[in-house]
Amino acid sequence: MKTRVLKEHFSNTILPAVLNSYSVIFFFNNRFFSLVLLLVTFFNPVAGMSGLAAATATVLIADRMGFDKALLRQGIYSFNALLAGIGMGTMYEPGIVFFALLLLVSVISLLISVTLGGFFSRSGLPILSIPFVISIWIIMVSSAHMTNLGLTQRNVFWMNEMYSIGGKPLLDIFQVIDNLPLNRMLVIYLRSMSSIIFQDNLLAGIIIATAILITSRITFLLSILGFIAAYLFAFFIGSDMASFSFYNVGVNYILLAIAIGGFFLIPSAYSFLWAVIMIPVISMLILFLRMLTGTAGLPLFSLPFSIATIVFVYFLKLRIEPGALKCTLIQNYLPETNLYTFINNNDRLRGFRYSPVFLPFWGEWTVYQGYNGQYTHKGEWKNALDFVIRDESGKLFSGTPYKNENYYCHDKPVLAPADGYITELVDNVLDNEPGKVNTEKNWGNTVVIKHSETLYSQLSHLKQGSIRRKKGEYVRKGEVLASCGNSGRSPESHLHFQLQSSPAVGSKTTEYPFAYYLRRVNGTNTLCSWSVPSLDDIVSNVTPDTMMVSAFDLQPGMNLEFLYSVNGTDKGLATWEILTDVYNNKYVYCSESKSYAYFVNDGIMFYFTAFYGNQNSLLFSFYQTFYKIFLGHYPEIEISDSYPLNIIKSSSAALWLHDFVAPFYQFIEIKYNNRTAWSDAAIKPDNLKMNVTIDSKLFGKSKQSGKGSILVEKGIIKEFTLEFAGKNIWAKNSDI
Amino acid sequence: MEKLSYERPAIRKMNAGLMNKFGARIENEPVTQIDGVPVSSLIRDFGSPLFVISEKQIRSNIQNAIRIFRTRYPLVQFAWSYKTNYLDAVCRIFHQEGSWAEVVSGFEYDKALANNVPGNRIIFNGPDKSGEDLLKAAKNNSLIHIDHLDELLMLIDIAGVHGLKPRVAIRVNMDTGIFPKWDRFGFNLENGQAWSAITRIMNDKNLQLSGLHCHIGTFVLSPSAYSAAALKLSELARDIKNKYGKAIEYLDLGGGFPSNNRLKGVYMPGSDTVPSLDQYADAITSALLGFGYRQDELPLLILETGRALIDDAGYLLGTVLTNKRLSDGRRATILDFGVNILFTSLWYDHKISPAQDSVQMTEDMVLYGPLCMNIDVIREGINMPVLEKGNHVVVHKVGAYNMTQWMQFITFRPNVVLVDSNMRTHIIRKSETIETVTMNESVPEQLKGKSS
Repeated sequence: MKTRVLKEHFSNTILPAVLNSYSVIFFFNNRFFSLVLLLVTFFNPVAGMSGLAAATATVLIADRMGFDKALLRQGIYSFNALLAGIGMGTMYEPGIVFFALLLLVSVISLLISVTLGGFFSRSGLPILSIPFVISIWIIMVSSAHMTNLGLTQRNVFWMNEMYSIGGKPLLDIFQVIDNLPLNRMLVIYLRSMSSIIFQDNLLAGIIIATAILITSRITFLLSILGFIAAYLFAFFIGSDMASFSFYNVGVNYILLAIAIGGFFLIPSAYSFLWAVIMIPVISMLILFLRMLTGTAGLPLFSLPFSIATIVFVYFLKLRIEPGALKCTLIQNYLPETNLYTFINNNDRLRGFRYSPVFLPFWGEWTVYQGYNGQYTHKGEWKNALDFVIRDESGKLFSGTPYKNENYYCHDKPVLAPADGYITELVDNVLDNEPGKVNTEKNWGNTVVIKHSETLYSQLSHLKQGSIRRKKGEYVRKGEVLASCGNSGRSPESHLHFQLQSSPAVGSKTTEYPFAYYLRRVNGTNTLCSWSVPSLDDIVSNVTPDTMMVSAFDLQPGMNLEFLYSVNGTDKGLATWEILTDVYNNKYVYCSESKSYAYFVNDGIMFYFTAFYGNQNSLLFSFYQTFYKIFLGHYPEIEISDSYPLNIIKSSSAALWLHDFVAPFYQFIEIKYNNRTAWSDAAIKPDNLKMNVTIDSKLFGKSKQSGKGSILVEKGIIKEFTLEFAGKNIWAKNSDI
Repeated sequence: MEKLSYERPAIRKMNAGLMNKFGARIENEPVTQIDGVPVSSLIRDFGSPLFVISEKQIRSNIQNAIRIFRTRYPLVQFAWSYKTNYLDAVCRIFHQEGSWAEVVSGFEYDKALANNVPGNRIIFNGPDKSGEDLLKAAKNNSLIHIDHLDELLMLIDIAGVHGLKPRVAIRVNMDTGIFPKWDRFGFNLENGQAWSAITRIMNDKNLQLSGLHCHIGTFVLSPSAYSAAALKLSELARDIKNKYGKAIEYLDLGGGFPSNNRLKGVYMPGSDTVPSLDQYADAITSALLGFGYRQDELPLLILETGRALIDDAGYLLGTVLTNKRLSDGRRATILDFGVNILFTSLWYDHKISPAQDSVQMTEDMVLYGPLCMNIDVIREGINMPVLEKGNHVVVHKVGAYNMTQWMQFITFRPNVVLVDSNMRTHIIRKSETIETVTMNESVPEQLKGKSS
């Protein structure tokens, strides 16, 4: 029992933490890359071993002392020790003193990582490799007094070293590669790459560069960009190459470009531009700092890179309106993923920025005056909406226009747009005769509802005496509040609606979207989400279907069980739990495949927001198939959405190419569509089938690349199928 | 110069001003065109008599009705009452506007299917559903509104045998304060029959009680009757919810809204006596909203409005055959259409307009149809300009029931023409010929051959 727990702890925490110490140096979180880098460090066996030992020691200490497991697993606590370990292994002869110092360095770098990190993270800043620099400095300065610690000369005679490991064949390979007739620039680039882990040979450089290319095209592109920019700048200013050593190029210029261009910022033309702009800056910084530390005999290591990056990140964070240069909010440790989820979420998760507000009426109304309207929606009141009812010929009234009762919207129910308390209420202003306005009591009969500390809605020009609720009462979304009328500055019956951030009647208006509504164009309804209707739009509310709502009401604590088959082969049972994280985000968790699918259900729409884990799991197919489900029953409405591009298997050649240009231009799109195909009843159905299609769009040309179906029965997700990427999935809810 | 037509000298009572105790001033504005198509060309092209239906008016009526109800209540569905007018073209206009189908026989049911109405959008009403009808409706997932106990028992049987789970409602009749009480249809609420039918349904493992249905009358002039009906159905729904925990999905308040036609014996014209659709909507929706349903359990409101949506979209064009003077000195005008095709003239004093400019002189007269039957009277007394042989008349608001209840009697039924929104005309039902009438006849052998 105990060994099993230990084993699990090892494979869930210790191993990933040690491995990620490697890949996080290049801002990845990728097992393949870690293993490659681990292997390359062993080109210098002592350095490789001492690096691994330092990282492992740090991980074990941090784990034992109970630091944040998530940060530990990401390698944040241990990569500095790893660097210091490799550095020490490169500089000193192994021995008892050496290993004692190695352990000490691990402790020191952990100490600095935790304390400095704790201090910096309050401002949301990274510490990068500052702990490494400080701890190796401490060792370097103090080691001068340690006679039992010998400087190594292995690096000078590295061929001997090679020979001792792999004999002549290995040495031959190294020599062949080192003597390749390569372009001078390429050689510098590759050697710089290898110098990041304190080596100086082409093979290491080639392997690292290739591993970067396989892991991330954007990072690869940035490494080249950083290198070329540095090279050209050195050439331009006629540098003495002092600031242009292999080590500086690798650790300072290239890592800076990677960090700024693709890690701390969402990759874009602007982030690339800033990566280039920062190259001369760091070049100056290197020369400047060298003067300072040189007097103490200390090499700079990656100090300039760390300082420049931290300063720049802080600089960006202090902006009030970020504009086109976006910081990465959710770090996925892969520029591609950051970029694709950002593009995807920017559009999809608009709703996260708002609380849901709905149209305050039933049936179809028309926007008579929109935002920045031509009559009165100007200045502080520009973000307001006036609604009326028009008939099929566009008229506002039947019979004569001289009677309020003849206006279609007059006396029609006005509803609460969202839950809240009534904070202001005016109910005694006489309704005007049509054509006359009451400028004394501008707003007429009015209700102001407080939805949150900074969101109030105001409904005005209501019918005298029609307000059904009292001040201070709590009203629920969709409850009838009053009737539409013609009071205040209103020449004919209409409903004035505005959202504001303060409670007074007639406060400054706020631009704020409605969560969901239908807009009718040429007789067909389209679903609008998180948008504001504009002038002459014919709009109505969406009614969710109770059966669909209960089918997708996945609450924490529930289990989902699906019997499934792949390509006709039975795969048995997949069991998932519905859980919630500390931020109250709900997700479906598959413990078997360690996969997470985060979702949102706002009562009108059920949609997945993120998937982490194994893309071969059934949960991933579930995520794909149920990517966005409309909980209303409107067979004429098709739901469309885009997947983040990183959901395609990274082996896809087209996506590989796409990754290179992705920061500038998106030519691939993967579309999700879903539509009700069949239901047993026109209203409140018991059985409902949806068809899902997945379309790939390449330069605007669309091709179906997958299809699926969803069967919902009596409030339960009963069955789903998905054909995608050569896999044919069929899954049936085993609770039924 | 063209020869002026002869005008007969006449003495006429002075009738100035708007209303007085002798009634309204007679408006005899000629109606020379329907939706922009001249009456004369319609008759020339399609013959006389001729039914004309305005697509524009139908669409306007249903859109208006939808707007009136949906802006007052969140869930409203109209179902087109087939028996009111089941010409396919008419039905399809309603279906295009989102109406479901409300049928009362196997024949109408098949018609609705043929009009591409999905089975689950057909409401099957009426006391005469055969076992086959019920089976078909259950298989198609239609809403079956059970009218009587025998039908309920039959449906329980059918559902059991075929393993179907039909969605049903019961038709409930009740006292809504109006006369006549339509207690011959459905299950009575007050005497407990309705509840015992519900108990049977709820205890059956197959039948799914989805809704409650009532249809309190026809040409009901009192909106309050509807609010009483909505209230009583809501109470019944609440009792079902309390006892069985089953939320009723819809309330079908049937039809019965009047059109603007003037009933016989009513002094004022229809436009003055008939409450507006808004008043009915107010009565029904405020009863439902005030009842206290939970917001997410508000039932769908289904309306089977027929007459009020189609009556004023139908016109009957006809031609004067002759004039004569009756024994009491009254003028009689004989028209080429009678109660055979204008059946509703037994209920209404239809508004009838001349279709051409005429003399200003008007005269009280009787309008007769062409049938050799004494009962063939279109209007017993109407004040109209004197009409001559060959003149045309337009009868208004004939869209409801005439084209379903008309008779093939003595002569053929005429063409029905649809004027679409672009002023184009389409024959939507051809006039009958001798073949239409004799098609289903057969003559025994001994009667064939020459008559001696």
